[in-house]
Amino acid sequence: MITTKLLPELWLLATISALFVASVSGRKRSVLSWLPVAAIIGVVITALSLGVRGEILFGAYRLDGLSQFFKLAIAAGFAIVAGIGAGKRDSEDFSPDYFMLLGISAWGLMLLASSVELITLYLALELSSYSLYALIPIRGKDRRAAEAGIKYIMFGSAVTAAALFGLSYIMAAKHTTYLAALASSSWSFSSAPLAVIGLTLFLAGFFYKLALFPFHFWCPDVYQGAKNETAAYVATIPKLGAVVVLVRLAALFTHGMEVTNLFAVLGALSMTGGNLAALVQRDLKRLLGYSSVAHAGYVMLGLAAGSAAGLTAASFYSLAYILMNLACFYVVCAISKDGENPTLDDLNGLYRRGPGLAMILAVAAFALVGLPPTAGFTGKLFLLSAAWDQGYHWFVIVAVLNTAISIYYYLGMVRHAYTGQSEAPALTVSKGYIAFGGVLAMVVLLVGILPAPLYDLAARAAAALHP
Amino acid sequence: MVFNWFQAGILLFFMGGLLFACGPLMAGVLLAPRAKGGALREPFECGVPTHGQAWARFSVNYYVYALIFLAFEVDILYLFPVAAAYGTPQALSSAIKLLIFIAVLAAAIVYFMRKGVFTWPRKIQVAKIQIAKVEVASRL
Amino acid sequence: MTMQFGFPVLTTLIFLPLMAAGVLLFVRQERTMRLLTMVVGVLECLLCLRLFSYSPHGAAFQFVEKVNWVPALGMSYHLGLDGLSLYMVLLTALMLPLCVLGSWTYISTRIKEFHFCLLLMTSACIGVFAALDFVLFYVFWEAMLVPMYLLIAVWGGPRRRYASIKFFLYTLAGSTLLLAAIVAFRQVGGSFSIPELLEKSYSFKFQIWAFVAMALAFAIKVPMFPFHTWLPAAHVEAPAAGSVLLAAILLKMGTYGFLRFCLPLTPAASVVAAPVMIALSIASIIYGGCIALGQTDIKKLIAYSSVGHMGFVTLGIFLFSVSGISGAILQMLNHGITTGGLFMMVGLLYERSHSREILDNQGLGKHMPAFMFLLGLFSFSSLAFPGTNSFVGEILVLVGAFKGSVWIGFLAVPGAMLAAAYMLRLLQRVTWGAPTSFKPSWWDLKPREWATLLPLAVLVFYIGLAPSLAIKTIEPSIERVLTTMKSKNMAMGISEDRHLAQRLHLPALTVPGDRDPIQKERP
Repeated sequence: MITTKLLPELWLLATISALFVASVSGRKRSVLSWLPVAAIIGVVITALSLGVRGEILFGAYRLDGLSQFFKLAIAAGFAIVAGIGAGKRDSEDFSPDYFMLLGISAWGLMLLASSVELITLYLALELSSYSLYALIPIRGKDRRAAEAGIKYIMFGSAVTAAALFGLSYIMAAKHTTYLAALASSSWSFSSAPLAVIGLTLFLAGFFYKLALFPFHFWCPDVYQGAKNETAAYVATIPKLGAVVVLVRLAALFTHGMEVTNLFAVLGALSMTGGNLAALVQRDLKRLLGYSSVAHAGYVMLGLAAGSAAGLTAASFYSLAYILMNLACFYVVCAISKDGENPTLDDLNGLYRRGPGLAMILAVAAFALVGLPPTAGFTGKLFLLSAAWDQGYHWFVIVAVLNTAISIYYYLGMVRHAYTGQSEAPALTVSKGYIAFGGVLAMVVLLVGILPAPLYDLAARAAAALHP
Repeated sequence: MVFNWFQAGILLFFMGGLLFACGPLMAGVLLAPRAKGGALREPFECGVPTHGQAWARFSVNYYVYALIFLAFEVDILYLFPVAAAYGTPQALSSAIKLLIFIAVLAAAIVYFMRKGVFTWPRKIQVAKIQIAKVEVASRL
Repeated sequence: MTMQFGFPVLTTLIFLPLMAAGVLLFVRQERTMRLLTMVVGVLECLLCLRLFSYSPHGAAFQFVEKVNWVPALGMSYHLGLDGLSLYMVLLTALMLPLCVLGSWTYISTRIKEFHFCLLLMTSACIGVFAALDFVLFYVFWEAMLVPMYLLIAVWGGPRRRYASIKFFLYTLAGSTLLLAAIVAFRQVGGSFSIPELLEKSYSFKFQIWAFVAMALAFAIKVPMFPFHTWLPAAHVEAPAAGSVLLAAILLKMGTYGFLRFCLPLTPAASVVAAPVMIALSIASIIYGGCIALGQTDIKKLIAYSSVGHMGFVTLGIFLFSVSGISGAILQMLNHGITTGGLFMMVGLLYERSHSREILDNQGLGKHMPAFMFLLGLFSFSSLAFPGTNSFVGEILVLVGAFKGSVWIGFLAVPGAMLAAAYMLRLLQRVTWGAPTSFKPSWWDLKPREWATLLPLAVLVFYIGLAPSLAIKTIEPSIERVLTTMKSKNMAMGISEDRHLAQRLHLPALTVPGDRDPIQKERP
């Protein structure tokens, strides 16, 4: 029965509908009393649906290992962001509309994970993007949020228009938009130049979502301007959508083609540019924005490799990345009481004011560096192994050198938290909030120490794409 | 390159189009009298002298209405292929699919209504009426 | 899971401090925290008694524990000890209770976090020495950076911010290329498991690049001459327990890395690079000695003396002879004991005078005789006086040096003389110099401080007077490493039987092994 197979999407749709009703009903009760619970039930349902397989809508929408894996990640990310919001019950920005837009974006990303046909892909991409366009400017009466919103919309629409243009080229050259049919045709520039140009433009749309150089310029400004919780969402979940599409598309290529070399070059530039720019940042969210740009480069290691191991590593790393980044934003949202942008100096004395939060920040920061025994290290190891095995030696060396560069600013966060002195009073954060954050940090460590179950899950998913 | 009447024709048409567009402009530049100043730079208002700013302010609700109109116009556009695809009546399933589509649009309308998009704000303010009343009373 | 002797002693050694650290988070009282860590330290030492059942002529790796970690990539949780690492694990376990005792009154703020860091450090250090899987080794190698960074940054001296960041960045930047080398070894060797990688032979070009990547990371850690600049800063600014751990254990990880990885995995490259490494070692010895001679800060003096001593160790390693390497390993052990003791004493001195300058600590022999007795003992050991432990190590290294080439021996001996010069200068000033700022409130050694230093003093004498047990334990492993090296190099066409000076004339870059597998003759 098709509805049982689509249960994750349908549950999220039900959540969105309930939020819609709450939004138009005009009653004053906060929606946050039941939303985190609903989101967690969604995660459980998605985890139970990890094994479903099937195809609907004339083969345009497929449920396979990869799609279910990423749906689980998206559901988990949505639950965590709902949890972050739950700590701020009384803020007037957290109207039901806010969460409805978040939910619609997450729902669009779930559809994106399952789309295997280019036009469906595009539709799902736009569905998730439009909700974000509306979501980013919501921040009290802050003008920076409006600026962030305009930047996101302008860049986003321009790039998605280019993506649509590329889609038209692919349709013209290959006369099909199904990924399965496209996979069996030739993608070298000499035999299908129009298609390769079209594919490059189409990929640009997803590079934008992933914040890869040179489509990353929106990233730090939007993170800085948007609300902390919005930035936490935008920093993590849309990247999952971009990665799942890029994983599907990367299965079309082999090492040595122009497109994979493009992946590698853009990845290297992204890593280096992101890390170098982050070294001088003082605003925490801007720093995390540039670190997102750098991590987009690391994910490219796996996508440029293109082998089954590379795609597995990219999927694993994107999941590990959202966990570590969400843990970092968890602390960022907690230390800014009035919703203002926290700077590095606001972290001073955190070991005393909020020891639990300081520990979570330390785990998250060192995971982002790639320090063992966290999930960041294991993910990076998988990426480096896959890229080296495919012959991208120079790329691997650039990646490890960039890891060395990035240590400074992540260490700076921990340094301010653990050795900085400040007279500020202790942070009043509820015990449940810290407990949930602690669980998140524990998961980051656990995925790093025992990566085998998740890795095998991702490996089976990638092997289905890449026999 | 071999001379081909077809290509020559295309070239001639292209140049003709350019001339058609640029010709009058060039003619204006070359033949027009050299006049300056006066009311030459004011926008044309059928001979009536202009007053106030050319950029008048008007309510933002017009903009919102225009957006919603555009969005639903495109939705009507989507209904055309549906009509073509479901030309002969099929089982209820096709009607259900169409109704789902229209239900989502209806939900959007409900959303707009509840958020106050369709209520036109009152522009005439109470204070001005009182001033007008005072003026009228003083003239009596 | 395959394991010997009934229960997994190495896993317990690694995870007992971790679990204790978790329990420590919930302890509220200061005294309980210190006592808990002390008890864990003593338990670790008792567990190490199990390790004394190591049999030198038994299997290559003993106390092996292996569990599959990520089978898809060939990563496994593989622990084991051999002669190279046995004494390092024992040293690490010994250092924990001594550090706790030494910091009993030194550390007065944020005690819970201090002991948390100490426990994490112990666990990570034992893991580094016991790991037999390359990724596991790297995990522990990097994991011990964070507690050390915190130890320096939170409880350190006035320039601790500079010193801690320099230490962290320098070491981590060096080991990033090690990660690239690990990934490369897997592609060429097939898995991450060290015993499996040891059996294979690699092409010369690959060996050179891998050696460069690994040697950089290890050379920064040792530290060898041009990469040593982080050491004085880190040692001076670290608290006493931090300095002890840094000197006694962290420095040894670099030399252990050379022995475990560079020599057996990249033997041809090691042979080619040996002249450079020997030159750098001699430079470390002489440079460290000369700079130490000019120091007025006691801790900095001992830090530079560490640079010199570690120069002896790397010299011994790259001589590729049994006496050289056994001298090197012994020196690793002895330097840990001696310099650990010295730093502990400087910490005790700092608690009394609150200054590390020699000028503020002169002429204390009359007032603190017991203290000066132990200081003299450790100083004599540091300058390799016969009868103390360092003498055995250094004499073995020097024997190997002279056997390799007379010139190397002649260049290394002044290092030993310089060690005598600066240590005796320090000892003379501190014990018999003109007393400048002694206060009657300074106390001689208390029983707790005796308990901290006595085990080290006993070991100084024991290893110095009866080193045969230690040498007999480590020699078979060294012979195994050297035989592996020799056989791999012979297969590639490089011979080690030739004198070092003759070897320098070998056109090593055109070894036929990697380009022409059929032709085995030397060019």
